[in-house]
Amino acid sequence: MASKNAASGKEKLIDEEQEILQAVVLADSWNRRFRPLTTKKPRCLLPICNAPLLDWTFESLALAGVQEVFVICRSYSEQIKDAIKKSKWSRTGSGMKIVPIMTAKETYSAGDAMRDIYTRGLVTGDFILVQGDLVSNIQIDEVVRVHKERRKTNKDAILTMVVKEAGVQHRTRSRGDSPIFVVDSETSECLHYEPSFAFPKKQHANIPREVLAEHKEVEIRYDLIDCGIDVCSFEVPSLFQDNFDYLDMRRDFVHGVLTSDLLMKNIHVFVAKDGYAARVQDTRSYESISKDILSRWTFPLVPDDNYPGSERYQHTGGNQYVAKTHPATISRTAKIGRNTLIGASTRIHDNAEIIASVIGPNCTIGAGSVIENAYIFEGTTVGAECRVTRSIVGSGVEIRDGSTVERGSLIGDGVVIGPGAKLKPFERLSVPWKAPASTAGSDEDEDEDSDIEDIEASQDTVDKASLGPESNAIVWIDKPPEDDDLDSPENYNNLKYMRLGEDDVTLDVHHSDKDTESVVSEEQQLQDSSDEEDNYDDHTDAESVVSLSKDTQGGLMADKEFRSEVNQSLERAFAEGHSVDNAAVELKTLRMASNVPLIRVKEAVVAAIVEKIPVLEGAAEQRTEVNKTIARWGQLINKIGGVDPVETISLLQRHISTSARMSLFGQILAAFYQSDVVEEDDIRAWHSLSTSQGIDLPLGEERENMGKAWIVGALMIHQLDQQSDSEEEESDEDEEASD
Amino acid sequence: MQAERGQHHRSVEVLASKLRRRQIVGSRTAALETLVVLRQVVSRARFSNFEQLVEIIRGVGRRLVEAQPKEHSVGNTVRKVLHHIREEYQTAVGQTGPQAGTSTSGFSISKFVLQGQPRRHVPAQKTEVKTTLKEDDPEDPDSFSKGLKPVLMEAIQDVLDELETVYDNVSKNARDHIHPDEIILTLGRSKTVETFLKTAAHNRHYTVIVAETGPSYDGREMAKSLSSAGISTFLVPDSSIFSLMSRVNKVILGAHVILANGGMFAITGSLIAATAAKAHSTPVVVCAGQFKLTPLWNLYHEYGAVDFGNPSDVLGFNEGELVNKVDVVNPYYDYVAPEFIDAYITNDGDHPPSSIYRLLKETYDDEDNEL
Amino acid sequence: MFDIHQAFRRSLQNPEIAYPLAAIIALTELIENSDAGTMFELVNAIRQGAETLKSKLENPIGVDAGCELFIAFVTLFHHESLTLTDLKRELIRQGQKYAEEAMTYRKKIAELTVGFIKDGSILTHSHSRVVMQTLLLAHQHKRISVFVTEARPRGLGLKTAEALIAAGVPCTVVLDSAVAYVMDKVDFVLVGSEAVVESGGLVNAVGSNQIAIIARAAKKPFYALAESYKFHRLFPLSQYDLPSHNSKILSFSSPSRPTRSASISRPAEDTTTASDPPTASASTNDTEPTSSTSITQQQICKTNPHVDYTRPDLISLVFSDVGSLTPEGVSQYLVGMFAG
Repeated sequence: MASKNAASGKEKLIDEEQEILQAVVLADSWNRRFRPLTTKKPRCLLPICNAPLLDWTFESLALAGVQEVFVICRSYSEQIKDAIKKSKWSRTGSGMKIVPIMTAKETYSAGDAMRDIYTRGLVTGDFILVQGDLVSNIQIDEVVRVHKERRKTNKDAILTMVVKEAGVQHRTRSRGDSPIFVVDSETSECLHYEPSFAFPKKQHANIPREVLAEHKEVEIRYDLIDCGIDVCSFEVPSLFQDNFDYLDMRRDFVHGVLTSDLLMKNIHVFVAKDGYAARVQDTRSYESISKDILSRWTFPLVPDDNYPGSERYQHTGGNQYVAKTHPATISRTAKIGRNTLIGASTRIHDNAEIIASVIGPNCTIGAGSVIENAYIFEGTTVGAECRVTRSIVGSGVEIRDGSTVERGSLIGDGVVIGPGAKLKPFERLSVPWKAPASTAGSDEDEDEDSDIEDIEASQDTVDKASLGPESNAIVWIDKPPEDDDLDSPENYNNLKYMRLGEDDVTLDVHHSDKDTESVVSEEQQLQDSSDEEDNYDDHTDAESVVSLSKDTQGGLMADKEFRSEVNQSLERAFAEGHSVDNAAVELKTLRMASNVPLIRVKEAVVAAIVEKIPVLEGAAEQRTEVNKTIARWGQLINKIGGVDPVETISLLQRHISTSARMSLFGQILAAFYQSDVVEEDDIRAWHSLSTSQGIDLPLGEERENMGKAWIVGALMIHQLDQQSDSEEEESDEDEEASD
Repeated sequence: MQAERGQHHRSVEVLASKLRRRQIVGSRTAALETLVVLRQVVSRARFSNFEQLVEIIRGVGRRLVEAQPKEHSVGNTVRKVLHHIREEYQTAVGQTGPQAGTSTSGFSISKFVLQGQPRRHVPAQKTEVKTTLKEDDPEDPDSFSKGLKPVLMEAIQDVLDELETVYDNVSKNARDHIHPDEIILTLGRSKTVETFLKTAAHNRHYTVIVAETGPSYDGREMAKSLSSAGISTFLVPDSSIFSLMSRVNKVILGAHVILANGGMFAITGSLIAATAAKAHSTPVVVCAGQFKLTPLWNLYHEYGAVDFGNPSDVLGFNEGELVNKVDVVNPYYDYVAPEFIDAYITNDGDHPPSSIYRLLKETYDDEDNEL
Repeated sequence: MFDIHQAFRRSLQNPEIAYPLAAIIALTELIENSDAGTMFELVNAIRQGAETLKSKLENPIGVDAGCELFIAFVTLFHHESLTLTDLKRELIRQGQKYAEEAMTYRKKIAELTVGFIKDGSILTHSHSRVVMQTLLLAHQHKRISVFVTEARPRGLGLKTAEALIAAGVPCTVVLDSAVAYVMDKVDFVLVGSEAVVESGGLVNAVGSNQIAIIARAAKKPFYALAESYKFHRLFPLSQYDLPSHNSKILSFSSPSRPTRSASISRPAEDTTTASDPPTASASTNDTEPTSSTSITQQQICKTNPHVDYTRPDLISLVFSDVGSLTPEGVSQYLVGMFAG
């Protein structure tokens, strides 16, 4: 080690500059999209086209002339450290010094990692920030040069993001995480960043008015691939330190910096015209990038040329790559299709068909099997007459004779399935978890363990017959989690867009389950809040309009369930005589849990209170009852938040038109007025609304009732007018009297 | 020995990485860089007999060729250096010819058969002083290397000089090859051809038709450069090569590498030009430095030998729909068989393709064919 | 009395030895048994022995090549310092050493050729040991399939096919007349050789020329494999310049007299043809034809040539133990070898 440093110090043939180019690689991805393949090893060590992802990243950096690399490892840091030590980068003369940095267990996001970098003081100048799953051949040093030039004149340019033009339908462009960039055409400054996921699908993007006012020519881009390559100035880690809320690079940091009024920092965008760069963010992009490598878009990073792996491949017609140094044995009746990669010492038996797939080293493909669009890691045995389609199969897996692996399946290391197994699409399998006997510090944190324990515990509910009699696998059940955060791209439905083997057709089916009830309300909320700002449509697909109508239907059904919950809660409150405050709190939590818009809650509360009023014979008794109930519970309507008396009255009218207590409308309204739930102006405002006359309803009883209520309201206003007139007269008299 | 190997590993590794990442563009540049590295290696090498030196140089050559097997000028330069070193060594030690003919033990029928190979001419004795070079001297292991080093450095310097003057030497007889008012067709942007044409323009007045040479469109640069030198130039698309061929008097092409059978790899489009020329019986002449001669035979059988490059030159990556459905092929080179070529103009004279084989035997040693 | 012929036959009993090598071994035995007193006499004796050997063969070209090589070697051998007995011993030793070394040549050629073979189908002609070795070596590394021509009249192609099938190579026998039919399915043609001549052309079993012409028309490569001792200084200008050509070949039968007498009147030559591997398809009655107009296989065999000459411009490359040569390269090579 020492001699290497000495040698690299003495013989610096390349640059004369004092600063050496540094790079930071975030080896952890902070999400779990590749499970179960990544239960025992980090994502950056998974192979793509038979070379570990981290090696591709290092090669991409070496192309840029980077000299010092810090690898921030969190999960499985021992494995990463080992891999780096064993790789060719640690040998003398590799030109790049790689330092693995282990961060604490508490680093849960990119932001935490940046804060760690700051505290350790690793970077001395502008540096390149990449993720550990990058495949690129872009001349990043060009970007660094542009960045540095810019900084000479503009000290506030802190970040340059590298993006690539691709087109919306491009296979390498992630569909789950496809942000909108608003860019100044001349200076390529990024003016606004709007994250956008496939689910829930955004209908509108909100762009601050100032952006358009200050810049002459603005481009709104939805066709860019975010390469995840950032050229950061040395201030960037300190900005993370200042703001502990920054977790994600893009959604938090970039968005935050651009929308912040205080910071006044600029972020620029570099649109790479030549060169290729993409991140393996999810299994879908794993497939696209594998295909890109085999189709030579990443030239010269191709298997027969500048290949990060140790094997040499021979390139034959139709983009077939066959291992050369340790040749594969291919039977003469086997058919090797286009865009395939066959690993070292692999054996392919008679009549097998390999189409557009990557087969790892030391694998065996049995006679008559068909492997299509699949990615098989090393040491796997596929038996005879099997079908593997659009899946990723881990290392050391045994797929016994006659098995079928359907699309989207992820099979973890060491799994045995079959013979005759028939997997469902999007099946995820792994071997049962054995707590590692002795690891140097527990690399895996507790909630991973508990996740897997849950899965193991629920194995009894799973039908294992389809896995074949000799299987040792546990099945990862595909159900949405209870706490699904729709703001993050990791939400259940959005993850579906990022899965391997997912085509557009299948997605509509998922829209009609109860989860989408929240979609409708989200949309409405967005619309409500966006009324305040300008709205600009983004380039959305037409299909989103169609899906919306489907959503509403699904929404209404789910409504009933929520209603019943509210009713139950209110009944409890009524029965046990809770205070208004307590009941309000309970309703609030219920609303948060179901993620339901406020108006629904109000509806339910108003309905429940109205229905609570007992219908009595006598008018006077009736009035007393009404007043009593309203006095007791009226304030609840306002306490649940979002005080909007006009809305309250509208809701009351709406509900009562369909209720048995129609005739009580006037009394209830009066009671509201008495107990200060609504004011006189609110009544007038409600009355002047066109909807209060019920003209938007179809002809029928409801409309009649609405009309009646309106007339009652008119009467009330008349009364109020008379009252105020008489008050005025009185006050006038008083005044006159006082004169 | 290991320590030295470790030391000169550094420059070799740096060059190997640059070659692998294709950061070195152009065969002449690659050859020059190789020479620089070899010079460093030899100057620092320590060896006590000749075989060790050969092995060291071979090892370096192997490493570089492995890094970028498609850049043949690297291997050729190493072979040339070995050849020169052997010659120098033999004159220094005082042997007259390649065969130690007098001792009967060395002579056999098989050696006799091998005599059939074209023999190298005995080089003129550079140094009259016959230094007594003792190999494997146990007392002073460095004496051999020290005695031989200046001679070796000279040999490498010779190769370097040859490389640096390649363009001038090729263009020496340019005006004999081009006659007044001729129409020449050329492709791509070869520095050798460019110098050749510009030199001829001093004495002759002629016209050049340059084909654009997609997808790199190097032809455009060539046309610009030629016209700025005062030559009347036409720039045409590749598709019109055949239709214009009847007006063309000569086709002059550049080469990337010349194979032992007399064929060559040249920029894609050359095969079109050569085939069209053959159909019209137009002579095809190739200008190339001798460092492009490769003693390898079966390169053109490998599918990948034509160096399939980045498809984004042909179809932009942002054509999202097409990327998924279409396989884009972008070969960088064409293999032109020896039947299509009439003569090679090298810095060492003009040769027909059939005697390339003989040239090779004179330039390189057989045992170096596989490094 | 030393019978060089017998010595020749004896060495041919080893199936691996080719004719030229056997000739060299026979000549070394001749030296052993010679009682020449001076170098000059010795060389003469060797020359005469070579002549005797050649005269008895119908197809002397291979033997001729071997003999020429040995004689040239002997003539150019430095012998000032040695006595005659020492010289003789040395020559014998050299001859035997060369024969041993030459056994490795086939392997060398096979390794050289395998680099040119890709997965695909190969056409070969008749039976050649060096081609067999090459194909078997290629089969280990690549996926090849082989078409073998029958090679009438001797039918040696069947021998090749049987050996290849036994080794697991997909192989089929093709009629000589069906070569043009099959040529589009073939990726390249690989043949052995009896001799490679100074013009760069090839002398090989009859049919090779045809195959070469068809390969050229179909633009397929045609490769010849030849060990270096098969290089010969002959320069034929046409088919009929080969030493194996005689007036009987392609002669017309005179209509009045039966051809019987012609076939019987050459008893001495018959013994040489009997030494060749027996014809697989020849009928056994060679003595008396039953009727005057029926033609037997044996007759056809006699009136047809055994070898033909393929022009150098039809050959793509010649693979030899001294490397791969273009046909032009061969001629330069020979000049260097014999005139140097």
